Amino acid sequence: MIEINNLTLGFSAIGRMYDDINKVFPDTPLVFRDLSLTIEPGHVYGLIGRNGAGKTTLMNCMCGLLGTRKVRKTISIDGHEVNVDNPTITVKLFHVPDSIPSLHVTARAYASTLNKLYPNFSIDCYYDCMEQFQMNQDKFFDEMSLGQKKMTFLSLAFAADTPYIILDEPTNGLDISARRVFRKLVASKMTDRKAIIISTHHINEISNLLDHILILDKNRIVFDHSVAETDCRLSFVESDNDADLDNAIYSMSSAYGKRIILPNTTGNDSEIDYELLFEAVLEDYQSIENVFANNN
Amino acid sequence: MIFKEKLSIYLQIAERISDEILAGTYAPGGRVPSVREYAVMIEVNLNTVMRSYDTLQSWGILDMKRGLGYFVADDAIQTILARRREAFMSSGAAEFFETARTLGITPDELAEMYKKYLSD
Repeated sequence: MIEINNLTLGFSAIGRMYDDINKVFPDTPLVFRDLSLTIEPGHVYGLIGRNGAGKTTLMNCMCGLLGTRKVRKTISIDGHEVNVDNPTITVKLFHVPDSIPSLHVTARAYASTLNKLYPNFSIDCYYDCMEQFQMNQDKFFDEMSLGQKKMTFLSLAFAADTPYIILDEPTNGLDISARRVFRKLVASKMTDRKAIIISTHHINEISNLLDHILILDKNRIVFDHSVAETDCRLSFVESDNDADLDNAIYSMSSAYGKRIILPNTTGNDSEIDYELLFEAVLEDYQSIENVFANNN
Repeated sequence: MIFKEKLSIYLQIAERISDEILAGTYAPGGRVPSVREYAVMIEVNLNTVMRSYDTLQSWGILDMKRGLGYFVADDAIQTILARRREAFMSSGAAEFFETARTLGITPDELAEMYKKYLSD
């Protein structure tokens, strides 16, 4: 389990990190304020948020790549404080960043190094993933395109078989068939001992892979519910009339009429309209949260 | 006012498997793919496919045999047709009759049209 308890983080105008709300001017912008989040194995989490909401920063903090001593103290992985210098922690997670450094190393050589670092690393799984992506093993990272670096790192992530896999915009740079391979890999490598966290701006492309939705906005996680729970609580309908409904929680004009979110009172579970849910949460997360809080 | 609502993904998958049973892809008494095999095939979350299989089991369309996997129930075809018939009567037919009424089509005309449709 990854636990984040009241994470507060900001950057001053000169780029200095600060982690204490009482030590800065009240109007200094914050990235996170008292952000709390729990990641449990056995689920695929989709992390969405506006540009600049802090998705990458949050992922970097989870991996211990960013943050002050106090920030690291608010984040624990299976009960241990996150710390990049602690090998027992680093082998528990694999991070695929959005920008991958252009090292002068071949994919094959890099994989054999990681094979020694990660206890469950499967070189066969790595070769299999690379083959599915149709990647050349002997290419150097500094000769690869963004998509090729992504595919190599994704293969390494699935081969490393860590309990936590953190994927920052994993489909960025991937072509259409590579995106399909990616979706198949997530579906096949998922186990009840593993959590996969995926950040994306293209939610519809990966929505079927998720079973938990996280929305980051206003310095905290404003939506944190499983897909099953969302199905039970909310109905997503489209109406041919753009009149407002009394019980609509949120609505948006569409070509057909109106896309509407209602409380699910019928028990007929409808397909989640992720775009509509995202806009609704950004506009007024409290009214959505009230539907989840109602015990009926 | 007309509302359109798509089924939740797990229900879409349950209907898809029902279609495959009706089409003979999976025969009554036969084994269906494991949850993981099906999830990879359609690129969907494992837990979501698990919900689909649970739902099909609760509808009496699939049986779970511990350690062996999921099997198509012997009377799955009848169960699926009964469910579909019920759904048609409660929503599909209602919509159809509403359109017929708006267009001023009489019951006799409807009966005639249906007979002609069946004989074609």
